[in-house]
Amino acid sequence: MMRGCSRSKSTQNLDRTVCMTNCPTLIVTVGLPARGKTYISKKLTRYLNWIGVPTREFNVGQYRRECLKIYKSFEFFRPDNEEGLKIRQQCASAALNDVRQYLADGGQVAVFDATNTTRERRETITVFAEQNGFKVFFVESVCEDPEVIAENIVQVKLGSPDYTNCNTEEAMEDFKKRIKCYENSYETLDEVLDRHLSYIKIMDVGRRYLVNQVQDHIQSRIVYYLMNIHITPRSIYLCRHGESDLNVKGCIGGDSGLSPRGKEFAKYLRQFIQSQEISDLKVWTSQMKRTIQTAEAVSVPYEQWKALNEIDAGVCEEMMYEEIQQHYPLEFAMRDQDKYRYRYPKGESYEDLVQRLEPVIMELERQENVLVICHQAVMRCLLAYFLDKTAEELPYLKCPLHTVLKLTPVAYGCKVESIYLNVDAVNTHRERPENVEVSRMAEEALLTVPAHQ
Amino acid sequence: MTNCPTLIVTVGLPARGKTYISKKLTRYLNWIGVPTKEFNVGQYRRECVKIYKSFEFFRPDNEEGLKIRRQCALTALNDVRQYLSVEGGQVAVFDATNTTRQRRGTITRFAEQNGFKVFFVESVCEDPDVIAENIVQVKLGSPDYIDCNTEEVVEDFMKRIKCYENSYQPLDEVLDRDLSYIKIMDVGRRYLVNQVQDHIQSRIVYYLMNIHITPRSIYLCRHGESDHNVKGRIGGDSGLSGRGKEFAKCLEKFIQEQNIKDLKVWTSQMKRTIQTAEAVAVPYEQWKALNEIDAGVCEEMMYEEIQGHFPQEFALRDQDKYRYRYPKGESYEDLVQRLEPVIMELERQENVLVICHQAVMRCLLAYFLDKSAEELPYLKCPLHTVLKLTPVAYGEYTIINNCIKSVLVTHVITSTEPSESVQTASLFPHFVTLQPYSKMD
Repeated sequence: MMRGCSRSKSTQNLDRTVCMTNCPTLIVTVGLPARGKTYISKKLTRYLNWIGVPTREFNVGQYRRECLKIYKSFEFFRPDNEEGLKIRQQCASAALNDVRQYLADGGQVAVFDATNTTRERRETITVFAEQNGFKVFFVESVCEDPEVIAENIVQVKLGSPDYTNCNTEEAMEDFKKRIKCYENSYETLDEVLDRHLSYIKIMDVGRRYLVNQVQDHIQSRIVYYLMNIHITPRSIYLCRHGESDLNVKGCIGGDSGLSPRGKEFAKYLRQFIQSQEISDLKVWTSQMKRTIQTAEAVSVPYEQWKALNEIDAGVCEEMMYEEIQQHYPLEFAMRDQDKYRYRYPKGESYEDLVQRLEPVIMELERQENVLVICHQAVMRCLLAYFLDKTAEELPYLKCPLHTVLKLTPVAYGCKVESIYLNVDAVNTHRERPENVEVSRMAEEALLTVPAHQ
Repeated sequence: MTNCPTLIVTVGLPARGKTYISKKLTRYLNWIGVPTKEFNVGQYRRECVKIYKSFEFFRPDNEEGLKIRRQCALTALNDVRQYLSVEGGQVAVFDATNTTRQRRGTITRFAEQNGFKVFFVESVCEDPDVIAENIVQVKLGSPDYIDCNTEEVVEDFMKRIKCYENSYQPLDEVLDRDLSYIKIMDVGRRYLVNQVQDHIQSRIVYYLMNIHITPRSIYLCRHGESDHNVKGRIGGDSGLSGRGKEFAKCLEKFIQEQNIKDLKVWTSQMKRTIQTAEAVAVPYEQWKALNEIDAGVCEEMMYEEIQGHFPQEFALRDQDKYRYRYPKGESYEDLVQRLEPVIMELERQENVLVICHQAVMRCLLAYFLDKSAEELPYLKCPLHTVLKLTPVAYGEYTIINNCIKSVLVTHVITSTEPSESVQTASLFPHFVTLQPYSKMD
């Protein structure tokens, strides 16, 4: 569940058909081709999974490609193409079947990504959802700006499997005709006719929104998220503070200052930032000395976020891994068994970190060019969000010192460039050891501890 | 630009909830640390026109009336400028009908001249039941209608609304497409959001989309007395004392008697709140965000030990209890930030019982009762006392103080704060009293 909470032993199993708060949710996209439905679906899915809500997207176009093998032309989508209509209907049904399977198997949210442009099709989906005890929330994207549509086609359609053997002009022309096939029968969500449906209508890439009948918490969070994302090109720079005195000693946590090499990194970071010539760069740090000292050297205004503070290691704060093994061997093993959910006694887990970083992610979505100077565990969480990493992978993502990751959104994902600023630093990455059993020997536990002073 | 003050401007016919929204929004923004103040033009009008005679004052052909109303609006805007440009205010809520495009144009120009961003909040509602209920709830008690009976008030107010209707120009999708606004329709059934400019507007929109006016009650209490409480230790994660367990049983009876529909129960992730909820024997949800304030290096110490080991810290804390952060711990200010999602979800919910901790309960209470940062850390939240909060009128809350006293006959339950007076337990298994919050000892 989203809030990192657990249910009490005395909670009864809630009856699915009485739509309670734990009803699975079916999100249904609506809109003509090239209106950003798949972009929204993928981004929303990534966000919900990151905050801990099991979510999966079901792209009907994918089903169609698997069925048809070879895409010939827009003619397939002509409203008078009986064969085409039949196949498309079958694909939608197959996708809905998989949705039912997923939500029955522990999925919490399914995103049904298709045009769904007729009231009839939406009615079919609503009936399906009712029969299965799912709540429905529609996300419609409406846009008539020809430039936006053209840019969309260039960004994501040209590279589509449908157009593998076409040149730009051919693809463009065919796709525009494809859009036309849908236009005549397009029934947009209507203020009156659809007043009992729950939906958000996104107009002109977020200039305007119409929100109708939000039913519950998850829909409210989805609306908030969708209203904060944008498609303006920008880059996000993630890095850790420069090497700290405690890093050098091999100690975790604490609030030490930069080592001499760390200070040098900070100077290089400044040069790097200047060379990038970034317009209106915002710089964020945590409230710990080492990130603040790093930002100070970069010499730009920066904002401190407590939420960006490193994971609290509780009783293990400022210990070396060897000391943790010595004083808390049990805890150390349990951490290796489930590093994402494990909470240091009187400290935090990665799962807790994600929850406290959620407002940071939300604000990152609103912003444009940002440099975030943070910490290892924090950076892993942020990176996992941008690169869609699972809870299992997250705590082992490599975030070495003195390395800046430049993330640039492209098509449906994120391009990552890794820039090592050529100042030596200690390695702080501890891989998961082979033996995570509580009964293991100290040497086995310490096998993967990186070298330090 | 990002630290540009913001001018929020309400728009709508009378009895559409503009003042409700203004006050609630102001309370929320102040609580999360954004200095905000509301400016109700009706108030200015009441100060100017000492005695309200009738709706005739609002007739569109009443030259004198129009002149006065315009002056009042300008005076209010002047005070807005003072608050935002001179006094350090961050957000001003300009609460008036602002139903004509002309009036809104005047305000927009004023804002531009002064470097304020403008965000409109329009409330549109044509449901006669909602409007009638609104009039009953807030207009009957208005200073305008002191000497009138219910029928007279309703009749006069309906005519007052009519005075505005002809000239009402709602925010228009086309004509006003360059303005930043949210249009709230039918008490939150539908929203239109246009051109959100920045973070604070985004937060305002999110908040406005989560509040509702369905009647409900929020119950706040602390866990039962814990072993640490008895020893005079702060923080930690101890279990309930014998008396704490008694309290939990009394709490169960109390909840049952209240006969609350669809009650949600929330606890922290600490033993003492969970044990309390377990005894109440209803499904409950654990929130880490409801955990007690982290006292860092002072965790599990007695106040005497803190004075002994960290006398300087102890003094600094007394100097600014709201902002003071325990070394390696948290401040009340930090607490408010981590409790914000709890408040947001409380706004969405209906009947909820929150079993939490002293500092946490103070923060939540400060939100509902509009207490300042200075007052917050000293709000009285004694053990074994349930505060039932019920919204009245303009989003404010009254407390019905329900004291559940322990079955055991012992006094000196705890002294959880050195300055707090000692409480006495009595023989009653459970006992409900109604008394003003300020009179709580």
